[in-house]
Amino acid sequence: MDTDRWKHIQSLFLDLLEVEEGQRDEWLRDACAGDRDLERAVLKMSRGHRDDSQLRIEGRLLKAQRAGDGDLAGQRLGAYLVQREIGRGGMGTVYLAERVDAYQQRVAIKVLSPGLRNPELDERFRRERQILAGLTHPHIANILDGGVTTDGRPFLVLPYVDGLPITQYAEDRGLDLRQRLGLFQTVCDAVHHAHGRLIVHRDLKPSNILVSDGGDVKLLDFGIAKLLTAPVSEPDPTASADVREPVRSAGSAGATGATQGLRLLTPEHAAPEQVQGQAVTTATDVWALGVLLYQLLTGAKPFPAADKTREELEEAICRRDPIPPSAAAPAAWAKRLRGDLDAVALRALAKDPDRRYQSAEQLADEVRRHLVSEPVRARSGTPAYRTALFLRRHAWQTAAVGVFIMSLLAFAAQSTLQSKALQRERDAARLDRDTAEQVTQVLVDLFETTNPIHRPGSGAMTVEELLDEHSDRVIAGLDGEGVVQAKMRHILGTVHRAHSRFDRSRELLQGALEQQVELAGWDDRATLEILHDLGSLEVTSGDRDVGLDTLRRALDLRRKALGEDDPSIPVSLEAVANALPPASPERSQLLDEALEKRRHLEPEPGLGTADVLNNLGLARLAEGRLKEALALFEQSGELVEKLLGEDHPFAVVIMANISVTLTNLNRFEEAQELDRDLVERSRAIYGPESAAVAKALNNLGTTLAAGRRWPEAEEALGQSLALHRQLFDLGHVETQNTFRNLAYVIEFQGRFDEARALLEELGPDGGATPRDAALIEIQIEGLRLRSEGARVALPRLQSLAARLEATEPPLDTIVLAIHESLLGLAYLETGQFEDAEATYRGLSTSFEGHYPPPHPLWAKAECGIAAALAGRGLNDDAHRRFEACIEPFAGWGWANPQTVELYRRLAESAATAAR
Amino acid sequence: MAGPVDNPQGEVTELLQQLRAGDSEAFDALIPQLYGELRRIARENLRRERRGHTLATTALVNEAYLRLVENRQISARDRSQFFGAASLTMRRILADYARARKRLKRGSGVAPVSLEEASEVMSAPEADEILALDDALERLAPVYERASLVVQLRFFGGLEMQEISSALGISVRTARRDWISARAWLRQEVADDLGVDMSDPPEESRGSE
Repeated sequence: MDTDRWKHIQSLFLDLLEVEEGQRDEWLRDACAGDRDLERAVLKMSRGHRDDSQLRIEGRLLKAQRAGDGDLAGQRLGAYLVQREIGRGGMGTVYLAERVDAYQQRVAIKVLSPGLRNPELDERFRRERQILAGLTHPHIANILDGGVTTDGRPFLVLPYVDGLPITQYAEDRGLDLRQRLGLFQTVCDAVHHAHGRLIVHRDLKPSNILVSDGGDVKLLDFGIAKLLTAPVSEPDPTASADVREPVRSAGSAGATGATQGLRLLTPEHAAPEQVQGQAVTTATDVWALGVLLYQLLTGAKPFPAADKTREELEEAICRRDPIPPSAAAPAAWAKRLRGDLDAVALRALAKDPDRRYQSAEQLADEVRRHLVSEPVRARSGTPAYRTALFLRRHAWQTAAVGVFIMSLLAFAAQSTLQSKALQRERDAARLDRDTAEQVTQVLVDLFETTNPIHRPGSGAMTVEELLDEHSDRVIAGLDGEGVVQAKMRHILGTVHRAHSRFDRSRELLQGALEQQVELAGWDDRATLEILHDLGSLEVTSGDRDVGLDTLRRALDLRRKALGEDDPSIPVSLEAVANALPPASPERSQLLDEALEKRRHLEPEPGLGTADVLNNLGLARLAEGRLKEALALFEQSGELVEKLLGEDHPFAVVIMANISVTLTNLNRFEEAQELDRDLVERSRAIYGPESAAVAKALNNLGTTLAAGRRWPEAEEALGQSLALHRQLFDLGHVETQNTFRNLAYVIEFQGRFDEARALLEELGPDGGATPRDAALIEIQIEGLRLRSEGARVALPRLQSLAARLEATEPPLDTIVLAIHESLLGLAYLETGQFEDAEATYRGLSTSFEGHYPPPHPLWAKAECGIAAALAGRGLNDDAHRRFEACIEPFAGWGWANPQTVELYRRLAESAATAAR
Repeated sequence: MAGPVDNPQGEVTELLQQLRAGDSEAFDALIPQLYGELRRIARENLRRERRGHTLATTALVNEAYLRLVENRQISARDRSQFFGAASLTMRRILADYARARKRLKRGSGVAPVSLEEASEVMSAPEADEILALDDALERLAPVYERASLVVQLRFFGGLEMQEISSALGISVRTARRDWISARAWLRQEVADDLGVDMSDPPEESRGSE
């Protein structure tokens, strides 16, 4: 083919396009005058013109538009001076312009592409412009003016909106889901307003929805697509053919003028009815809103053009279901989209316009329903959905977060605190029995040789204080009297231990041990007693493993040196048992052995038996075997009251254990009566302003809190705190414990600010120990969970995990469990059921061995797992788990009745669905 | 990478000035600059998972323009020169990608293209089309060079008809007539070249943008 031939073909082909469709063949035959090759070549070219499927790469090559052509800049259009081009879109070019008359208003002028012009369009343009001018809505940029440029191109004057496309705005600002949905609702409202005036947008897409710096949403180009296309009432026969052009932008090809407008539609946002050339209605905008929602949720388009041909894209739009948003979104968001939002977006993207939401308003309402956890219409009916919704709707944070923490701590504290109290009693008793005489002698000497003791600002010193301050002098004064000196070191060591001065205690006890071993060797009763006390010291001061080793060694040596029937054997057995984890089988075994030996040693059950019974009770309590624990405490209490009277400190300790057990057994009335009685007894024994009374009041407040009698609980804890602060400083472990309890009770009555202020009074480094500091931090996050919601609290709880892990010395199971249970709740509340399940499973694992079934804590963790499973729609699993754990949990005194009710309904729902 | 690193902006602008002054070698010097930059942009699009954009010549060329041309107030003639050179370069890059995609040797020699990169940019059927289109344009050029340039500017430079008309010094109407007819002819040539498989869906589909 040569150049002339080509020119000839081209010329005939272009002329042919001007000829009416029906007459083309005849015209061409005439024009070619028998040159069959020429005729074929022209026909072939015109086939190429019509059939764009043959070069599918075109679509991808010509995909985007370029900005930067400033050919109208500096020109005047009506009252406006064009400043510069600010964008180029499907319609043509957009310029920034300024009104040059009195108003000085900044506007955007949209100049339509030259190829879009035709007389018919001009007329419709004028008509529609008037309709659109009546569209006023705060979120719609309505048309201000319009006209025709000197070269005949129509233009529209719109308010200048300095903003970003909504999707880009959401990305740039890193908007969270809730914020994105808020923007989306605004868009829906504006669209609905226009629909009410029978104006359909037809080309809703992010670039037409701008958001200003201040977050103000403006919809552009309302109804403009219609200006450029055939009216709905007069279907254009060529429209459907034209819309099947390859994916390409406006004005890119020299198609015929009248129908070119349809090509302006952005195919990725076009609804099936637009693609198929059918009637465009308000439902078409609902589709586009669905596309927008999808983009806001996932960052991707439901029907991406990517490298698809026009046909493939149309095929996808008309026939294929998009991937659900949760599967298309980044993993971090997937869980929150699964369910409601998947369903809402897919409903808006129904192929059949009648199956979409009836209006933009209804779509907005669905989003609102999701946000306030009402059932969305798109999903009504499925059991898994009802369960998930039910979970989400319940204010999980009002479940027993605070009280639950108190109860956990109660479990942790009981054994150590109670046995500590007993230890002190036993120390005192031994002090009386064994060495009273010697010590008395020393003290008499001491008092005789020192001046009257006076301490500024307080009364006389107690004997303990005296000993404490003068230990060194006392010991030095005994120089040369080895046995007495060792004894004195030993006694003073135990006194220091009782006062939590562990380093000093250790120093004295080690000195005593060395001295005693030198004097009497390892087989000596006194030596082994010191060794035993050293072991107890290590356990008390926190080094449980070292302490346990030492205690076991003392037990072994005692068995060998003193024989199985020695009275020190049960003491050793109990000490080793109490140093073991609460629910370890060895513990019960050792205590049983101790009880047997006590009974053997005491023909009439005595204090030793009472002591072991109490310890066994504590072991049962720790295992969650509450009724057995109660029986053991009651036996022990009876013995003690018979032997020592009911106002004896030992009796008070056992009564406190009974009260705790009654509380756990849901028997609040008895428990709180007993606690009130104990407050009175403590006042009688120790005086009204004593640490014992402060402790008793704290226990009473805790019991009342478990019974959800908040004002009374607050009163008791307030009194306790006042007393604690009078007796100790703020950093004291007991003071802080009461402080936290009071904060819980206040928090529980909804006075969040007050509770927060209390905790903040303790200060960020206010914890008496790292453990207390961790508890304060956890409690503050728990408070946040209740007051500000899970979405706010969740990230903070997550980051707290790492800090807790890194705490030195490592935190105990209970503290970590409190944190994990809060984390689990936060996941449940945000509907992140898989994370919730994993968290509760972790909790359950950490309880293993400590709190075996049917321990209420075990049940608590299990119920959490079951709830998460129900949330995931795994109803069979959820049902099975609830079966095993719901009763142990419901029967627990610390369980929040609301939570129990919630679990019961979830269990029921899971059971129904499982069947 | 053949593109300079120091100051590509200054260099490209200077080359455009030399070109205006009649230094035709400056055109040849522009090509490697553009080649480097355009491929860099295409790869960035790949990295940003904007695969749909890798072949959008308008966007690619325009971005290269924004990156490489220092003063946007340069004359329309310089602009035309730039886009003329850029569309030729883009055509070469796509042909290189297509050859790499089809594991054919013979590249333009500016920089090697890996199969992996090429596979990300285009599917095998698209590579076939690019190669067929490139060949057809080669055949068209000696017969009717103006039309082949219009197509090159439109397809590979992403220029609008108005821009093409000013770049080639012809009327918009002429540009449009050349475009419509040359495109129609090329479509048929490509279809003939590739046989009957054209209406089947592409053998590969890639991720969405």
